[in-house]
Amino acid sequence: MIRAQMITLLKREFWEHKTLMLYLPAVGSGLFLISVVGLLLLTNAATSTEIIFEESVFELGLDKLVALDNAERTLWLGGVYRLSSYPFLLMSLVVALNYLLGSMFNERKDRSILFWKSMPVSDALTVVSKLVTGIFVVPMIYLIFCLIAQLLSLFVLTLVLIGTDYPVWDILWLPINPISHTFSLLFYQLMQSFWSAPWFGYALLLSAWAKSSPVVWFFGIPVAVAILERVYSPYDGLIIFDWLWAHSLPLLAMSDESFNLEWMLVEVTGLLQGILAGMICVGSAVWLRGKHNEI
Amino acid sequence: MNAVVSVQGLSKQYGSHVALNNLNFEIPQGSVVGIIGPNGAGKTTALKAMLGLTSFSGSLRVLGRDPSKGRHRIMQDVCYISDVGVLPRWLKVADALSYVEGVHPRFSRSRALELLDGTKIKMNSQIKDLSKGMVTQLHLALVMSLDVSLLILDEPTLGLDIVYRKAFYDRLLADFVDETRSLAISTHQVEEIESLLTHLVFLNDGELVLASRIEEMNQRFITLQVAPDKLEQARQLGPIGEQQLLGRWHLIFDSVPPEELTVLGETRLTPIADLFVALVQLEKVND
Repeated sequence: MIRAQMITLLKREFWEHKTLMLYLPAVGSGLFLISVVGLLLLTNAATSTEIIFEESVFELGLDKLVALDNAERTLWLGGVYRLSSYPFLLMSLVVALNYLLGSMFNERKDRSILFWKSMPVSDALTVVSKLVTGIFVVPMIYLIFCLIAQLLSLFVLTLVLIGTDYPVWDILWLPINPISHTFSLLFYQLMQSFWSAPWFGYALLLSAWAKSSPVVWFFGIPVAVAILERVYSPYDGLIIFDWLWAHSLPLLAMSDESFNLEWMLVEVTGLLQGILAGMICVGSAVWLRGKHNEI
Repeated sequence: MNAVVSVQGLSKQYGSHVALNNLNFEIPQGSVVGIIGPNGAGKTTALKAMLGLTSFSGSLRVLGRDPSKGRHRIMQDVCYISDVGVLPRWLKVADALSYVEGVHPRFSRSRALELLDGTKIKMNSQIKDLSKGMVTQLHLALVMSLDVSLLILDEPTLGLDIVYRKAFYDRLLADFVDETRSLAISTHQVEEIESLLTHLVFLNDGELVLASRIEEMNQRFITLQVAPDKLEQARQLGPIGEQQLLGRWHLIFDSVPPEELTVLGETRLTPIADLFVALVQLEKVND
């Protein structure tokens, strides 16, 4: 029964947040594709004045790509392809935090908590369903939309190049390697969820606790922590705030080379600390949902 | 008869305000209990305590369980409609059915569809597009499709017009009330549920004024319609309340033998609202 309930609770979150979980990433994918096609048209139309034979910028770029060796192509083109994922990954982080902040606040605000609580679903299961939505469902949905948009772009480029002399496989598919790229982004999204666990848990806790505007609390408390540390801490620098700050950064701020399995092993203490802090927040949120009534 | 709900010494305080003060009553299996009282009497607080939605002191057992622990287990056998429309505005009717089906082991989708069939509610409508009456119809259909032992209704028809209110109680009578299932209703519109009730609980300012079976209440409290010339004689018998209507006096008596009253005028059953007002005024006088 718990499994069936969990699936229904996850569906319920999707029904409530279709805009964030379906329409917004779909629009993002659409814009991405439009940008790629637009860029293709522009670069095809534009010509370089330095070239005697008036080759288009697009063709010029392809010529340069052909001239590179495999390793350079992978570094350059793979990097661009990876960079194009960042808007989706950043959007997913912001959407997840925004979702978690409202997830239990809104049900108290519109008093629908009385309906949800009239059903035989435990507070723990409800809170876990919201956590799972925030840390796994939202990142995966954005990842899927990102991958679809990128693959469609690749197909568009492939269609453009078919029939030309350019070796499509060698200059496009091989350096980009969509399969390896997919696993890399999957690893990134999972690691980001674990790395940001204290913030996700904190957002969930505020959502269960705040009687008004959890967003204000979300930013206000860390600022208050920083001020208190600055005034009262016997140590130099801000220990708690700096730890929170480190966990607030998107991992994509790190370079490709440094973010890998090795990084995870080095940062294992930080990861475990974050997960523990997140779990404490989630446990507190479960307790609060059991105690709190509507606002 | 087994008690579905057993309340002993139930108290609740919000800061210095006493919302419930040492309540004792039971809801027997198969009963329809009216929880009657003015605003602020503690009706909603008492119902929320039964549902594990608020903390309390004292002893409270719902179907043998403590609602403050494991609310979700109790909710397999209990359902609740609150005083205002609490179905989320963004939810679609079809999704509401899917949700309840997914989380409640005793939900019958076919029953819900059958109940909704006679209404104007469309499956693809969102709750925000429905009128208040339709939202109540939908909520009632969802609840009626649950095979539960106890249904708790807190002012379920508040804000509805008379047509919807009548339809609501007709449906409730036809589809829910039987010898095994119990119903607890709190409402201001006492007259509408008077014929349904088997028991009643009067609350005022968080205090229990009366908890009684309707039959016992009818035997104990009698209203006497008396002409002005016999009024003083009737007053000698110690009425607990009196009011003048269309030139005749209506006096309410507590535990006075009927034969002593019939010689003074016409006797009849005491309406619940009149009895409640009389008992509350009597308490004020005694205080």
